[in-house]
Amino acid sequence: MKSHDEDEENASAEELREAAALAAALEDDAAATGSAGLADALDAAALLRNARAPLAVPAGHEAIVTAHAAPALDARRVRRSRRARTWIATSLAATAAAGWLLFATTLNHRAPSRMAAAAPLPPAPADLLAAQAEAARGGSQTRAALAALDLKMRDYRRQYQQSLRHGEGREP
Amino acid sequence: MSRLYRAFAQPLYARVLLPKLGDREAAEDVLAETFRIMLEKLDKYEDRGGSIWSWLATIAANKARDVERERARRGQALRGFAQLSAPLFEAAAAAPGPGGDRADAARLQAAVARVMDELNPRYRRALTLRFLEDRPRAECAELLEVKLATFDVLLLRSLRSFRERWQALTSAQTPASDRIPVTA
Repeated sequence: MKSHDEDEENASAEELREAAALAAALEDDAAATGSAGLADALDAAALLRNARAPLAVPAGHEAIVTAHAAPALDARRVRRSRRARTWIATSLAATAAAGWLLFATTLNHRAPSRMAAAAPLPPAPADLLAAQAEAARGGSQTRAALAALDLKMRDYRRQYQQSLRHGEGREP
Repeated sequence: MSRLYRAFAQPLYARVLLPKLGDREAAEDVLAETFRIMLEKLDKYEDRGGSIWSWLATIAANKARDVERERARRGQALRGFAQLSAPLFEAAAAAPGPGGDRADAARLQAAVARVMDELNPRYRRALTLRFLEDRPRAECAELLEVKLATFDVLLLRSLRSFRERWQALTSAQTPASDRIPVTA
């Protein structure tokens, strides 16, 4: 073998060790234990190895990425549709609540007129009017007439209160 | 999803993942994982606003860091070249534009060619055979007419020389004031 390598043959023992470690690292992908200089040489080797071909993602890699990301893509679709459904439900609920509030407020405003309609006194029965007339006449029977009038008035008040309660219990 | 992929997959791969991981297969895996995480967190991002490129680059860089840690734990030697390529990409615009992927690759290859031209011819030959032509170590030694152990020393010195000249070239090309960070 012709010797073009006198210079390299005179390498120090340390350089020979580093050169052997570099060769092993490049051949076997084994961890290179050595100086920082050896790590620097491996960096340069990586640069040169990658410079020989274009730094391009292989054609067809997009399909691999799409397949790899498919579960995340599906989960994202589900999240988005759930969010849309929640938004629609919230909007509908808010609209319904607003409608109900408006309706209830309107009813409350109208309620006094209904109470007012229930307020007028019922017509006095004829026996009550007769008892009043008897009590007003006076005389020896006044005490008995007043007692009879009192009874008639109690009936009348009871009848009136019942009509009020009946009016309040009605559904709007 | 498809629009986001077309806009950002290539620059994420070329500027962030491949330089950090130094391995195409790992970079492709982390790219897929980046898009999965992006879909999971897109709602939060939309609420917060901000640059989508910076956000995606941060996700990708974090995932790449996880892979690096895992490699270190397993004692794997694969290394990235982010430290070396960063000045080149930082000199370009922060956010990738149309055709940015081709520009990145062209910039990297032009810089490699320029540094190779400046190297000692023996070093250039060793690096070309081993890395650019991807020949086995024994074949490289045979073509260079040296012993295997001698080729190993030659390769170590060639890589160190390449790195030195690369750093000189990229630091001369990109004054610090012009640098724009690649990631947020």
